[in-house]
Amino acid sequence: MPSNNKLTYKEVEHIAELARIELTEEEKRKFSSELSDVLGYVKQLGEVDTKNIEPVSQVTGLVNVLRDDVAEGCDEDARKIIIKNFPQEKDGYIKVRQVK
Amino acid sequence: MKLNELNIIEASEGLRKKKFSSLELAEACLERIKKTDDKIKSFITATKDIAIEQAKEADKKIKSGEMSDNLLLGIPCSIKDIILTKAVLTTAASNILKNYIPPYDATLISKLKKRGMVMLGKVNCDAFAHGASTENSDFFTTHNPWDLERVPGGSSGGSASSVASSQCIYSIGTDTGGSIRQPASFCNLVGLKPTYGRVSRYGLISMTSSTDCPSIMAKNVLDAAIILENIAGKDKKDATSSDEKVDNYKKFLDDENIKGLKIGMPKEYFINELNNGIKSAVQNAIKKLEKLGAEIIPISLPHTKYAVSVYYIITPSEVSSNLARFDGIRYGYSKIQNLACRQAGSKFKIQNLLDVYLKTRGRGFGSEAKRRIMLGTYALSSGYYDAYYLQAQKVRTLIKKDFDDAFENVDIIITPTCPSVAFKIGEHSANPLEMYMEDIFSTAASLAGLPAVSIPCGFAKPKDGNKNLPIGMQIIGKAFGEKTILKLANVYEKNTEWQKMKPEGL
Repeated sequence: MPSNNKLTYKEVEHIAELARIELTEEEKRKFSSELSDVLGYVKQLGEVDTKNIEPVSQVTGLVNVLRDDVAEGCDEDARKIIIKNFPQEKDGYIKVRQVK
Repeated sequence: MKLNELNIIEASEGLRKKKFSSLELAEACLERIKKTDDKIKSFITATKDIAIEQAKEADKKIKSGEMSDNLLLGIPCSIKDIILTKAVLTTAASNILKNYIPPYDATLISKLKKRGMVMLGKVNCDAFAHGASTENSDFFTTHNPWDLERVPGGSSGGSASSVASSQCIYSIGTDTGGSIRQPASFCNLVGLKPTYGRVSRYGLISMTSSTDCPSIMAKNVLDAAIILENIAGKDKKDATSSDEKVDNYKKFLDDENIKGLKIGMPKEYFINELNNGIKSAVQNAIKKLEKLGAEIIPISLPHTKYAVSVYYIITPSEVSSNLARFDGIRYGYSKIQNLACRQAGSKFKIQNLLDVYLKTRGRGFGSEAKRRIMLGTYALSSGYYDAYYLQAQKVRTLIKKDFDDAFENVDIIITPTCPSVAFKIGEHSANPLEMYMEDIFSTAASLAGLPAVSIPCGFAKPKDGNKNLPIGMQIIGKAFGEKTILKLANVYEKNTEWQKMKPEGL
């Protein structure tokens, strides 16, 4: 476990950038302190001996649950709703900013 | 008794015997909502017209004799606003989805519709189910019908308040780390979290994909069993759903013999810091079960104290991935257009695609969503992944192993549901870590994917008040052992009077 759990203002800026969230100055300060508190608490996991322990990412034990690779259609009223949800739309297509 | 105060069995019998219609049942609930929701604020979206239409459909089916064994036909319910309902606004109680109309129903909703559900509306929750009080809703806080100055619990607070105040007969919510059990405990209800994979997650707005469970808020154990039968089962649209046979849970409750049933009492859950009223209520409940024939065995779940830490690394990590889809491109709140200010050089101008993401997510998400996304981003980032996320996953294995080992010797484990009774609105909202500690007894069962139900087992006064407030007892079972935990819960309920008590003065 990292020995230092304090998140600096700069680190908070970096994480926010990775997470694609624009924070206000006040939020950066607030989160720096709140997140540091949480990291300080979870630090206790460092004391658990996990040598030779396998990580679990899901508890069902299921593996390779697949379906046939066949495209399924979409009913018309669903399609209409999906298009209605687009923030910007043209001729039934989503309109987005240029990907540069 | 007013029609909206009935439970599923009573309402269903009344419909069958033609004492009243589903429409009258729905109207009684709608009337109750009209009278009380200004104070309680359970509902984000009331669906009165849909409810009436569904009730009329149900009445047609009842008249034509389609009733037979369908106990949910024509019974009014509420749905947590984190579950997708086709063509009906679904917001996850977040500003970023305040205008979102789902194009499809969650699988559990499709199932309930086939069984003749009457949906009264979508109820409030913590935004994206992040919370333990419903105070993190971006829209408004819901009030506990037992004491309007207190929280109903969370994140399924609206589910709890709507059932506890008899605004509806039952509710469907979700439970990821305690979100149905804790509100059930705060509101004197039965809150059932099934085994992970028992009920399809298709159509849930994802929070923590590896622990999210559609869950049940009911007035009593039998109602919970009936609902579970109707929503459980394999779904090819949810790769984590189980093909384990769905038991006839209701029938299993006919057997009220618990002689020889081994109940484990884990010492780590009965700590000195636990509110005395809660400790004695749960201990008395266990003594009662012993008198009824169960065998009580002290056990240890040694990694219990790490459960909250594991949960608050894994949850934000999965949340950071699941909430990446809210980017202002396909749906929801968006800054894709430069609506605020079109002057060049203005700080509000949307320059490019990155701006759309940054500003949409910056303005659209509430504080708790941002906190969790950021915690998760950090825990998964290069240089920290091993120390935080991987370590948490390993400790999760140990937590699960604690339960597996214990269940070699016992059939059921009983603990308090939460460390406190309902707290005052505003008490923990300023301190995120304090709020996380509310989950101290509920997260371990979630991490292990086990079924757990909270049922009423007493009342206690809080430190800061004089009203008696409900206490819940948590009954945890083996994977897919819902019939055993429901059987025990039913026996306890039949031998006590707690669940008969209702909040007054509304």
